[in-house]
Amino acid sequence: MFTQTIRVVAASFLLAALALAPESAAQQRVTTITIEDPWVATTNPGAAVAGGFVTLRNTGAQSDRLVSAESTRAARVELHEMNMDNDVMRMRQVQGIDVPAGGAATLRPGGLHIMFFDIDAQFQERQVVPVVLHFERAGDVRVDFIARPRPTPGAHNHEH
Amino acid sequence: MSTEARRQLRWTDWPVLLLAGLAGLLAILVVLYVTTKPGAPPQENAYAAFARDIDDVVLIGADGAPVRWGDLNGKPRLVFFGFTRCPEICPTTVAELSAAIEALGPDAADVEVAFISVDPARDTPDVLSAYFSSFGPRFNGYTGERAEIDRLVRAFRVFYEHVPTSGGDYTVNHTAITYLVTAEGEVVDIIGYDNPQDRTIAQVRAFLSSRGV
Repeated sequence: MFTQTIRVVAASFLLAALALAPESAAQQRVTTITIEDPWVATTNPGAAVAGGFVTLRNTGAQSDRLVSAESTRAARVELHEMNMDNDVMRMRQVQGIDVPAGGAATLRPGGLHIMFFDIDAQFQERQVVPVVLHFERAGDVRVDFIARPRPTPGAHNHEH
Repeated sequence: MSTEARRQLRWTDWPVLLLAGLAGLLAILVVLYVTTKPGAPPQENAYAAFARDIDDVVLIGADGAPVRWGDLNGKPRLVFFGFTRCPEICPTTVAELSAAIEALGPDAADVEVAFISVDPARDTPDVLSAYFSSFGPRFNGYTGERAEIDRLVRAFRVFYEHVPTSGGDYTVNHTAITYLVTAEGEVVDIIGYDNPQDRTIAQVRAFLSSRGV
């Protein structure tokens, strides 16, 4: 499992100001988001879209929210949620994904995911797909998503 | 004295009655077995009303050539409705069917996986051809006029809808069922999205071996 901890400072220009500010104010401006197992599913040849999955853990004291994402490998990246409703697969765009303080948001097959539209080329196994995640508090977080095949067929249904 | 008489009754009459009853029951069971088990009419097919009157529906194959639905008869088919701009359900289903077919080996030699696009405007023959290029000749994508696709959709009781997303784009909500269609064009079983893979393999095996070939 790829785990990278990224300490994120809201905005670098704030640092100078914070250096002079009281310590409590400095702590409020800093969010700690832990990125666990960022991966994208390998795609079929010619497929224009791809799904990205990751666990976002918030070890900070304040809730945060993933509001958007972008990637150099896709023309457009959106946050989506899939669900099954009487054998009908439904997909909807979500405006953000909350990452509660001391909690986590899990993006995984069958639920929330990052949706890559019009990818530049097939996502092949072990490729790195660079993504920038935009958080409400944490700001921009650069994450390398690794391409791998979907879980063994049939395994998806054991998660819910 | 009276207890003696009762005991006598029990020891003489009861076994006879019991034996007669058992023999009668056995006879009934044998008759039932003989009349229902061998050569009895098959169980009623719950999907008998599916996929009716669509032989003249014209689709466009991944090679760009028109093909009538009826022309696909002659091979058992696994039919799925989806679209290539589908990030999860469709690639997962294709991967699962591919794994099931691989697991069945020669038993699944002549099966076709027919992927019917519910996004025919964007799923051109070229797109479908590329999409299935790595799955071998059994996997075929079909597109076509929306009206023709819709006739299939209705005949299979499939639901789909185009839903706008940002930037003028849209995604497609759709039924995620795989239909097992005989060489004669009859739907005999279905596989839901949440089906465990070992059951999918068992269902496809049973489907392929029940064709009487």
